Amino acid sequence: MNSCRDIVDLIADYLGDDLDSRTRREFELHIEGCVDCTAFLNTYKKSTDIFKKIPCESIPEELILKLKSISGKKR
Amino acid sequence: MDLFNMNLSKLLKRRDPIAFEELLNRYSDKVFRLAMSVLKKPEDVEDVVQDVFLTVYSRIDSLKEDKALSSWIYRITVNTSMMKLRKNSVCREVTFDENLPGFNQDGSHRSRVRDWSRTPEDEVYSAELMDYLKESLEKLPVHDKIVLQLKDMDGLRNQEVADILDISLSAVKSRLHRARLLLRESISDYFGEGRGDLA
Repeated sequence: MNSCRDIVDLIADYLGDDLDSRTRREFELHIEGCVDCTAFLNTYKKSTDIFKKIPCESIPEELILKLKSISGKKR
Repeated sequence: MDLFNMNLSKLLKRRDPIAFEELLNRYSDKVFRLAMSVLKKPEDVEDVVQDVFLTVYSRIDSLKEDKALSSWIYRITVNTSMMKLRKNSVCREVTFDENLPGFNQDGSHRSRVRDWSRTPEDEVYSAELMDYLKESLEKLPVHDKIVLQLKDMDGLRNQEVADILDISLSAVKSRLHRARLLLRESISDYFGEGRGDLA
């Protein structure tokens, strides 16, 4: 049986579908019976969702204009 | 000419100016954001972005596999950014343990882990939390930030990230996990939990 620490170490592989079927079953069995690991898994997943929502800065238009001049200069 | 359905790198090798514009459309934001994840000073980011596209344009003939254009551009961006970074920066290493919850000797959680994942959306995606997270990400080693950016923001596969950074698949997974642990811990701190736990 995995400990909670083992489960935390395996979370990325679990979410990436990189666990063999036996380890995956053991992981899910532990999660079903452990409220803390369930909370950890949920918050780990949610953290990635939140990270993806951080507003991305777009490249400044001024820099784009400089970049566009590269092909003109090099031709 | 439908550049979306033609091989962009082949057109770039012909020095097609429309292809270069398409290259900018597809990659300028990605290159800019990746450079920003490594470098702090806007002028350094600008230098790197210009160097990257100059390199792509002038060395496109050296790209053997046309389909590898995307990975090649990412690799040039990482290398150019790292060269710039090495000139004036010291990276802080974060260990796994810093962002793990506390465990008892038998490996069980030392204290209760609060599930804040169902917090109302307007709180979870607040501008304040976003700013807080941006600051927290500065604590990450730069290599971990690059992996997080390529994998979770740009949506690349682990193997692609490994190829771009010339590291093993297990190193990609390890860096990604470390970065996500820091993210989780930072958000938990924001919601007032200390080390992700509630006594």
